Amino acid sequence: VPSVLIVDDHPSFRASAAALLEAEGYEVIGEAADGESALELAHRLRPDVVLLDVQLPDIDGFEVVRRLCANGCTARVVLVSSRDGSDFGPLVGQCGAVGFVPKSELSGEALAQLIG
Amino acid sequence: MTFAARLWAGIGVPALLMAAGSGVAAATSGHDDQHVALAVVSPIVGLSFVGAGLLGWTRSSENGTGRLLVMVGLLWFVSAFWEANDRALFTLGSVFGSLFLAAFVHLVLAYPRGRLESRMHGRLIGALYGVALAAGLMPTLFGEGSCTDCPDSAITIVDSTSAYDAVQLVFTVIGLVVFLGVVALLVRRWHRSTAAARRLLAPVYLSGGVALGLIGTSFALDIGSDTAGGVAAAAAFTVFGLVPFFFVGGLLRMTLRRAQATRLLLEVPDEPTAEEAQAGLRRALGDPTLQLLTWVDETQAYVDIEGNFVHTLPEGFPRASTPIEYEGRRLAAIVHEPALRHEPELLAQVTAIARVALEKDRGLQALRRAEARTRALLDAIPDLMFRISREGVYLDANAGDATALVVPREELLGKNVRDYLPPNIADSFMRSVEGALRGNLQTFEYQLDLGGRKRDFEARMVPAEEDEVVVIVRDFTTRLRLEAELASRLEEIQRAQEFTRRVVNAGPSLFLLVDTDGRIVRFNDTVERMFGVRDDERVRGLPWWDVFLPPENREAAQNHCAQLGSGTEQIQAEAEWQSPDGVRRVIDATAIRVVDDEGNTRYLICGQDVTERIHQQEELRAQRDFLSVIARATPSLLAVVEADGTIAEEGVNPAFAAATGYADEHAIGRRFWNLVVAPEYVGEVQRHFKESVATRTPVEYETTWIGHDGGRRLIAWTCRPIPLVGEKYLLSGLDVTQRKNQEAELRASRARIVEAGDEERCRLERNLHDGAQQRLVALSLTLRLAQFKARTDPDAAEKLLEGAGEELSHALEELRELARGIHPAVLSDRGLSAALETLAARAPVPVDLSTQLDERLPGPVEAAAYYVVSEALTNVAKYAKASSVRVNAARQNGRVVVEVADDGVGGADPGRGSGLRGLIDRIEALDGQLEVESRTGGGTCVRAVIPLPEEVDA
Repeated sequence: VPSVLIVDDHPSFRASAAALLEAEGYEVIGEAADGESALELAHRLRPDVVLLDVQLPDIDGFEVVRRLCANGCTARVVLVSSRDGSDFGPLVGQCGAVGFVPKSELSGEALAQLIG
Repeated sequence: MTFAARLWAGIGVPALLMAAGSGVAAATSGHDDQHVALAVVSPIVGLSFVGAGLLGWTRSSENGTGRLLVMVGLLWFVSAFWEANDRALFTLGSVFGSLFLAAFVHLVLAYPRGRLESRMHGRLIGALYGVALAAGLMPTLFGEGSCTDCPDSAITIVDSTSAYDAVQLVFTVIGLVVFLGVVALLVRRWHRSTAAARRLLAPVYLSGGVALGLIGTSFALDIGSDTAGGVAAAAAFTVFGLVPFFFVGGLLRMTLRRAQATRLLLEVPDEPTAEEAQAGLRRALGDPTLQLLTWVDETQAYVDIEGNFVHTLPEGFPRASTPIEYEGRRLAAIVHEPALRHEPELLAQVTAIARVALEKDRGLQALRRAEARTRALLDAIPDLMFRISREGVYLDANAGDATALVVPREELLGKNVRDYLPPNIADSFMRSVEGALRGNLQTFEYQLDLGGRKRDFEARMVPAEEDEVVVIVRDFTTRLRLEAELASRLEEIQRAQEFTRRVVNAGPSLFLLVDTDGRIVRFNDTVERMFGVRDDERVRGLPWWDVFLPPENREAAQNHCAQLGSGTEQIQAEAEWQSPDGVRRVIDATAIRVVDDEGNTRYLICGQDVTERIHQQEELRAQRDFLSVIARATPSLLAVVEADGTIAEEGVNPAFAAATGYADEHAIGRRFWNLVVAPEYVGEVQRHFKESVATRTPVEYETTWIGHDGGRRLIAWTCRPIPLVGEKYLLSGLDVTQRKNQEAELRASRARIVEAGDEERCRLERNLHDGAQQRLVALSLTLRLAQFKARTDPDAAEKLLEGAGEELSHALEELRELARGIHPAVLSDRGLSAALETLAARAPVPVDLSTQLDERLPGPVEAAAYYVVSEALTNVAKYAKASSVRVNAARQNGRVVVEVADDGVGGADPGRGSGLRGLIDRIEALDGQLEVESRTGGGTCVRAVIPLPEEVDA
């Protein structure tokens, strides 16, 4: 069962996403509300997947991905946002994340397709 | 009986009797210790004076010295009667005893001519006689003094020795003073005398001076000691008795010199040169400095022997002169020592002899001069003159111009006219000679070829002797040439006159000739063209002002005429003239006095029609006044500058003075860039100005000017050449400081509005993203989870759907709130009053709302008013800590006034927050104003005034 770390500043989304993914067979091993916490938890919990909101109160999602890669993190990072992916242009493909899912289309199946 | 015999008998005999009387009186005197000596001395002294005097008198009756000597002698005898024992004689001697001294002084002063030199001397001698008489008379009134043996005075009033002595002392002192005065006078006279005069005066002054000195000494000694006085008196009288012989010696020497003079003059040669004549006169008059001057009628001046002209003869000191005249005509003059005046007889005698010699010499000289003058006159005449015999032989010739002779004069004489003149001329010549010899004046003209040049002559012949004629030949070649030239000139003048006449008639100037009463004599065609009046008999003789001037100008014209009559050279006047049909023209006329070709005095009036010029001047003046008013009234800063940037004499206008603080008195003459342009721009302004001057094209710039008060202003100025005013430029500036500030504020306001819009959109995006969007995302996930659970766990799915319904309500509410924030729908739907009510209702602080808005306002005005209240209420809720808020919105005088006032803590600063700043921009965009009044502890009042567009207001 793949383990997932959910990073988003909105508690309602974190709760909904955790409930949905766990219902679809994922193990949510942690939640973070900002970028610094996400980096710390990823290092400590070593999840298989990091579900990462692009817009965070301290560091934006792209920077968090860059630092995770730099720190040698092996987790697959999937970016999420309530905006459309085209709003970010080529940034998603260049930052090291495995893919992008609009928040409204998040599902275990969508996640599985991205992480293979 | 001769004059001398009569004199000797008439004066000499009585003098002898008086001498005898004085001798007897002295010999028998009972009151004088020296009486015996006096009895001898007194007659001798007296007779020596009388005798010497009579001798002088008879020798030279014009000389008064003799008479004065006689008078001294006679008075001397009178003084000697003091010795008499007879009371009457004693009194006579006492009273008149001092007079001889006065007479003696008179004698000395009058010597050598026997006449006093001046009135001053006359008055002095008169006074001296008075003092002498008083000195004898006054003491005698008081008895005889200390002389106890003297007989009683016949005229004693009070017998008092002390009074007698006192009076005598007084007069002795006066006598001494007078004596010293006379001595001073004589010394002065001596000093002023020339050497010759001193030689004459010396013996007399010496003897007279010694005598007077001794007499003075005896007077002085007499006061102290009778004995010493008596000895001195005796010595004085002895010397005194010798004095007349010196006088007579002098007189006799003068007589001798007269005889000698005659002899010396006779030694002068018969026809002496001027030097010889002068030397003779010098010897005769004994004056080696004498000069002889000869009178020359032609020059009306004297000339000395060296040829120098003398126009004025010296008179008196240090040189005197004596003219020599004959029958009232001047012949000569001698300039000599003034001392010779003392010997008038000598002078008269010598000048008389000189006169005869000079007159004779003068007659000869006059004849010689007359001959020389005649010769000179003949030589000066340019005509040829011949004496020709009846046979035609040249007897004499006189040629002023030798080139007019056929052959030289010497060759001509003795030859016949036929030898030299062409035959035809010689025939005519001889016929005229015959005619002249018959007694008729003959005249004929002929032409000769002399030296290759044709010359014209006119010969006149008159008979001279029986067989000869005098021919006067005049060369009139030049005259003929001149006559031809004259004719040519005359023609030229006539042509010039014709030309002048045409110019006068064709030119634009009018000429009007009037007589001295202002009556028309004639005028030129220009006058006719201007006024339609012909120069004919109808107007000639009429006063010109009646013909050409309107009634109101006629009196002035008459006055001008009178002024010319009283000597004014020229009168210039500009006045309206009028034609008979009433058309008026302004004529600038000058009137001068002239004399016409017949010698009559006329006044010439020359004038020009200046009507058009006056009209143009008036127009120009009006235009200038108009421009001047504009220049004064315009808000533009105007200054007239020279090509070098100096402010010209036309100066600056009031707007310039007001804006810069520099009026004309501070501005004129200074370069405008030094006066007003800020230093950092001076170089640039100079460059631009010079470029504008060089190209004569207008330039336009904006630079900072600094006024007199140091205030900086941004001036948009142009510089453009002023047409027709030489090298001058108009500097015209506009103060754009305020406009620039407003523009800057507008730009800032626009930027703020844009920025506020951007911020607002960011805020909306964030609110949407963080609010409704997140809720909808969560709702979407919840619904997907419920769908997943529906198959496995329907209960759980139902709970999830319930939660989703609540989440959807929250999302809707947030969207509504958001939409209200973007634009309140109530405002656009129901107007400002309703929208304000909604705001008041939602406000957390109680609001007292009052609106006086009858109808809907323009959308931007309603929105601005709404946001003012909305923002103000938000601020009240956030910061004011107020218990209540009052909101008023009313329409007043075409404006909407919105006011939000709370009772909170106050101290709000509109510059701090962006909310109020945004409101200010919004209001100002509508030309309105927003004011915030917020004193600490005094609540805050926000007041917006927004003008309404006119059509709405109406």
